[in-house]
Amino acid sequence: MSENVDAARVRDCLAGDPQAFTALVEQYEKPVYNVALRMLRNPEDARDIAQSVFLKAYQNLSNYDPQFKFYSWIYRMAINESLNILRVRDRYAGPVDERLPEDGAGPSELLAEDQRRDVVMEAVEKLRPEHRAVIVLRYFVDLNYEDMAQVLEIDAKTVKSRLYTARQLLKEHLASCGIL
Amino acid sequence: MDKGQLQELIQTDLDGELSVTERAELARRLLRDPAARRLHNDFRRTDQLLRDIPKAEPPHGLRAAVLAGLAPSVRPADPGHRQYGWPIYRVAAAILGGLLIVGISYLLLDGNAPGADLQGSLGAARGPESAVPAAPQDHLLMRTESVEVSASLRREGQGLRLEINSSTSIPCEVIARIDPAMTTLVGNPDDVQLTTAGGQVTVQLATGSQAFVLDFSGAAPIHLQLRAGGRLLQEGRLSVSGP
Repeated sequence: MSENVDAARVRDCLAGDPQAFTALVEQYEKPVYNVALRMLRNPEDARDIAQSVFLKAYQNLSNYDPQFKFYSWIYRMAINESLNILRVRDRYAGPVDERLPEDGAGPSELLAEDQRRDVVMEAVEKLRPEHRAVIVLRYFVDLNYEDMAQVLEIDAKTVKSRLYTARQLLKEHLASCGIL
Repeated sequence: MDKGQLQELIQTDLDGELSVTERAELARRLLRDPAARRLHNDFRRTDQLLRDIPKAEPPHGLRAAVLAGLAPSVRPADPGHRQYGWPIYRVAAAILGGLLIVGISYLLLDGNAPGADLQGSLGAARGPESAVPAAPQDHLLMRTESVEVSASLRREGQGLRLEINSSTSIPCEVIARIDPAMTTLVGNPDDVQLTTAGGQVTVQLATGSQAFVLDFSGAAPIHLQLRAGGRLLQEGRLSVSGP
């Protein structure tokens, strides 16, 4: 969806057109939910975060700066809310980043496709939050370096570096599980 | 080109951000170096495995819940309207509220006030019961962004009367937990969707406003829970002392 369309919807909503915000929810409900789900891997939490993100976006719509992309703004909220939950729960015990590779689980042909997906998602879940965030934004909402930098409020060089580290760790982990 | 630089080149390739020169450089390296080809293959496979994970569909009802949560009270503040819109209403409401409170206080406290007759007539209208102390009551307010439930419990003869007023923008339920050995629900109000199981009375609250009464025999405290979509939103306890 073009940025101009989003900016126009925000403008319409601020001018009192409730349908404009409904259109934004329809447009971004799925990616926002996916960001939260892949960050937390818990559908209940992802649902709560999606609701909270849209409510906050609605309440703070007048603070939205149209020179930035609308989706960057709401994805940032989704990432930040997810990171807050992760901080509180400290759920990422034993991240891949700090762990030695596990013993191989067997050749890839023995693993069914859905099992492979589970292993991949488990590996993503075990990444440090800052590495997980770039993987989620790259693979689940298809952002490029520049957009990821805007969402995470870091420079594109740091995005690139985090993404490389994350992918390297995942590659090593998947190889140790016999998937590669 | 060392291994680190090769890895960076491969990953930039995966992200489709290589320049023409870099792409040519990578192609040359892959042609002459089997280890580089293996590394490239592993990264491509990792990338593909991540891409193969399907995007999840949001749960049914998420959009409705989001939109239901956008009550007029939390509407976005437009800087163009904010200065002149809400404050006027708020000031007007505050002035009217203040006048109302002052007026009622004046009527009730000053027996010589012109409204003393009104006080008398109100008292008379209450009848002889107004002379006796009010029955003990307990109140509970459960409030979230989307739901407000006000409950009051009072003694009614030998039993208990639980009055509930609700206003909700999302479907939710109120659950009254009682000790079935000591307390039972008496009757079944027609106008509410109610189920009972063991020591639990569950009332489904439709969106909008609703008021209903549940009568219980016995005297035990009642534990109330407010739930939506299987999640506990708020809870509390109501009890009144004996007659």
